[in-house]
Amino acid sequence: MKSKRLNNLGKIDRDKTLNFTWDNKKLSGFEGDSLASALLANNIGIVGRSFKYHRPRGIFSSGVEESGALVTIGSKDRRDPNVRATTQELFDGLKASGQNAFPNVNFDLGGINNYIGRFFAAGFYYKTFMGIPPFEWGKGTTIWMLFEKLIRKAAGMGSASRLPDPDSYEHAHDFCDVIVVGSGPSGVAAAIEAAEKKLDVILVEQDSLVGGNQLSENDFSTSEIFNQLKSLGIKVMTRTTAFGLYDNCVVGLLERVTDHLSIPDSTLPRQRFWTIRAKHIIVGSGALERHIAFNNNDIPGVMTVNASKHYLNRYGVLTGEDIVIATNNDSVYETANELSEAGANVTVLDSRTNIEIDSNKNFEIRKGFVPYNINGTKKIDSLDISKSENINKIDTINCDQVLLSGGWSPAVHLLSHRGVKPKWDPENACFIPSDTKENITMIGSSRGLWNKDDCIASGVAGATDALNRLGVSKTNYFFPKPGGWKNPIKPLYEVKYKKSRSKSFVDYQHDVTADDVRLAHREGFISVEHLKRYTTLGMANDQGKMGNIIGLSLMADLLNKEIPEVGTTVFRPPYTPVPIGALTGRNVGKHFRPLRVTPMHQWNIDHGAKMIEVGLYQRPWYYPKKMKHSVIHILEKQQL
Amino acid sequence: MIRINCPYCGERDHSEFSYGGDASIKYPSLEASEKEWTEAIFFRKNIRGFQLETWHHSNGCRMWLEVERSTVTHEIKSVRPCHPDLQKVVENNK
Ligand SMILES: [Zn+2]
Repeated sequence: MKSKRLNNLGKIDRDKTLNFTWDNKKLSGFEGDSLASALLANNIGIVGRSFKYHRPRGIFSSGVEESGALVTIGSKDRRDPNVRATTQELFDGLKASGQNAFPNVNFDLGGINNYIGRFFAAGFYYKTFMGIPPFEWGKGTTIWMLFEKLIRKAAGMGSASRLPDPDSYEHAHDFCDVIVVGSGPSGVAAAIEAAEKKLDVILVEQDSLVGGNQLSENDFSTSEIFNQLKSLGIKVMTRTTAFGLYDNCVVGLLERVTDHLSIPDSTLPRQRFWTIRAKHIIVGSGALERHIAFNNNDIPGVMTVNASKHYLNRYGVLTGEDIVIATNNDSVYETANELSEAGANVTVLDSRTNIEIDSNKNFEIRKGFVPYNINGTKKIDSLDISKSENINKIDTINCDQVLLSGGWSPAVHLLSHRGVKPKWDPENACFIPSDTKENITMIGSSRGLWNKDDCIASGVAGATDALNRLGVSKTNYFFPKPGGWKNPIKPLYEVKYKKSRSKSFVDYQHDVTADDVRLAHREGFISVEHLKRYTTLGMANDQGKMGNIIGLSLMADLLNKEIPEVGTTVFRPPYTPVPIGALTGRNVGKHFRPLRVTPMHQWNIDHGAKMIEVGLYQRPWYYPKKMKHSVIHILEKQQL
Repeated sequence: MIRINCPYCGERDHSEFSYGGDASIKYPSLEASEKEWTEAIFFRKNIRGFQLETWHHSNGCRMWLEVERSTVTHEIKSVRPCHPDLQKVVENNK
């Protein structure tokens, strides 16, 4: 991969240079960068090692779905493991390092696991309970305890600091009429509509800037929208994630107060844990782009198409020179155009044949082609391609980056927390939210709308729905129909490799391959819930945001069923990880519970008593021996 | 997870209130049998749906309230003072 910073484009401040270190190497970025964009600007391709096989991994995305660029931030008592580099804002003096590797991510001794990988297939962990075949050597608890230690050491992520947490955290409560989650076009439209009808509105955005995916557009101004929202009296909470929905319209929020500052204000908590009681919840949580499973689809340099657009237009970073885009839908063509205008040499492989695309011919479109195999280990050397109808290697393209778009999955997570199962939309190849009786309305692309005007219309409709349900108005409204692309999407989840021992990743972070899903099927774990637990598909800290649908489709294929018949796994809170410190809040140390003392407490202390907790009370446990006589003497004297 | 509309103070967060328990219990007379008293003190229905319960606005007006709350969704249907005479006063002042 050859990524570089451009002199134009981006919403970064090129006058403010920020210095940071990556694995002790001194680097610099600009104000407005994320750690991931700063690493890409410095042409750093390998940022981590994978969970089981220790394969080199790069940056896959530009948001919360990241499953490759998990890094450790800070040092000593402020060491924070498994931070997604894509959502960590860059600040001056930031210290970041790669994890799950020895001695470092570029050269990792654990990489041997990649070659003995067939011993680590799905269910490996459970199988060690039964001893090592053929003689079941090592069966029994004692020896398994030994195995477990070795496995845990070899497979894993970053390690947390063992020192007490020096930061403070806060709990806070608030209430409102309508809470809007997500500040994309639909969320902003909904918030404005509700606020104009005099409702009390809170708008929550997990990013530092409002705009949602519009931040990946070249001509989008975030400050304009922010000011408009403010002028309407909307409480805008940025750097705040709605991580869960609970009974009776309660939303749990995590606000990251000082995580982006180099010298945090000591009077501020690091994070704030909010409980918001709303009368109505509007969710515009957007959609997440999926990848495509094919052999070696995890080599550093692979990324989602939308992520590349984000890096280009938000951070002014061109992520590759010779770029191949593999897609099965229309969403990539704007990106292809912009990447080629920015100076990249772009080829688009579209798995569909009968499509009409308006393009200015800056790039080549190869219709009916799919990616087959990536050549390279630490970086992409070339991509083997195949016809989508008859899978077999037919050509090789030299490139340093492969961008993937296997379609989009609406982020239905929050609604799923309320026990509402999403329904399959075969036309758009994704799960879309079902209706609920509760006061929750889904809007925008989290409803499966791909078109900006539709998203805005759905935001207004969502706000009207809220107004009606709260009894403020009685207005008719309608939601646009899911979809919005000119040419229909053609499902493409996996391109099956002909040779054995392929490494075609479904879930990047937990190293779950397409073969692992097939193994689970062979061994009888065909229910979605069993598949998930046996292969650990979707159990990493991205919770299967990118890979779940691919895993489902593979199982559906094996069972000769449709995806909705196989089922969908239930998403549970939190949407993104919540630190234990934030859950605990102020209730730590001597604030853990009240200290109750008897009127004699000081006297006991003065006489050297060892104290013990009895309920909440401090009582003398015993008086150490050398005090014995004087204590008895005093007790007698005072007739106690 | 709930907000309670106190008839004296208005809508407040449930953290201002203390839970008082089942409001539907009628205590028997002092002369009643042990069995009746045992049932009144220890036996509770585990209701799925709306139940009548008492809440004390301990960090507010300190009045005892009768709240009709769903044990499934925390939805609150009605809030009124516990004392029947005060219920009338509140009704008349509406
Ligand atoms: Zn009150």
